[in-house]
Amino acid sequence: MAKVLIVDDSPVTRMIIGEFLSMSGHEVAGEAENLAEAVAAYAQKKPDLVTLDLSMGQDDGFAVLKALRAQDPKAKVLIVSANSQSEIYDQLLKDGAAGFVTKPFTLADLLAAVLKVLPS
Amino acid sequence: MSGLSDAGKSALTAIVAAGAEECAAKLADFTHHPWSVESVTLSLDEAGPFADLMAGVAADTYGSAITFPGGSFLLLYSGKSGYLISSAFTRDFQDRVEGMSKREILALGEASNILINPLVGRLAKAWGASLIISSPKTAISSRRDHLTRSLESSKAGGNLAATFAVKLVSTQLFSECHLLLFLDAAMVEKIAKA
Repeated sequence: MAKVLIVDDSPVTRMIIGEFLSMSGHEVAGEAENLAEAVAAYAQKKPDLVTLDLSMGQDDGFAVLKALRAQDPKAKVLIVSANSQSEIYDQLLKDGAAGFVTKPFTLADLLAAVLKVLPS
Repeated sequence: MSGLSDAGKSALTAIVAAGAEECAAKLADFTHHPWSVESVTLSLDEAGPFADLMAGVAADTYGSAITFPGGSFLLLYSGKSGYLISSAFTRDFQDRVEGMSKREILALGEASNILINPLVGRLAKAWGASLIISSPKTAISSRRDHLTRSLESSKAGGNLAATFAVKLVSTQLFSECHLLLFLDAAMVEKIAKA
């Protein structure tokens, strides 16, 4: 089972993702709602996977993704966003995103995406 | 505001109407009840298509403000609709959300973010560039206050060119959502030619 860091500025979405992950036996290693918190939590918790929103107050998901991948080039980041524009997904893939889940999502949607990123 | 041709108005309205249908489908998806688009109204007048929204008793209304390069959104939910939509959105997690302070505001902010993105995708495609929206700012106020703030903010740049008022309704959830879209001149010009 994976240690997961949840990065989203919505407490409701952090709660939903956390509940789904916990129900499935994964460990919620921490939560963050902006870039600074995400970078600090990643360094401290060293998660197997990060779930990351795209629209977060001052910091967009691109900046957080780049910061996390700069911190750890092997960081596995799953984008969880309502945005489904293909150009944005293409750019996120180039920037190192490992996968995507579109909001709203079900337990099955989230777990399928986690399994795709962390097959083991 | 801009002097848009009839063809331009039709093109712009078609894009917003198609996006609004997808917004209704998203709402249905996460509230577990069917939604439909009751109306899509374009205004090139500064007064906007808000007469009905501005009128009436100043009841508490939830408002979510969202910006993007080229425009902004304001989503309005009556107190009753806000409660019903947020409850439906978080129905599988009631025991957890009941402990959250401002739970309706938090849930409606995220609901607004989710439901608006299909329309953002339509605008982005017509605009010819990707668009990322801001995080929603959600508060309780009168409809008039929400509208006044959004209009002042949209007019501040001096580029407000078109306003859409979209009404989404769910008879089964006894709820409605008013979606206001404020578009800058550059965005209107480009989309109308798309």
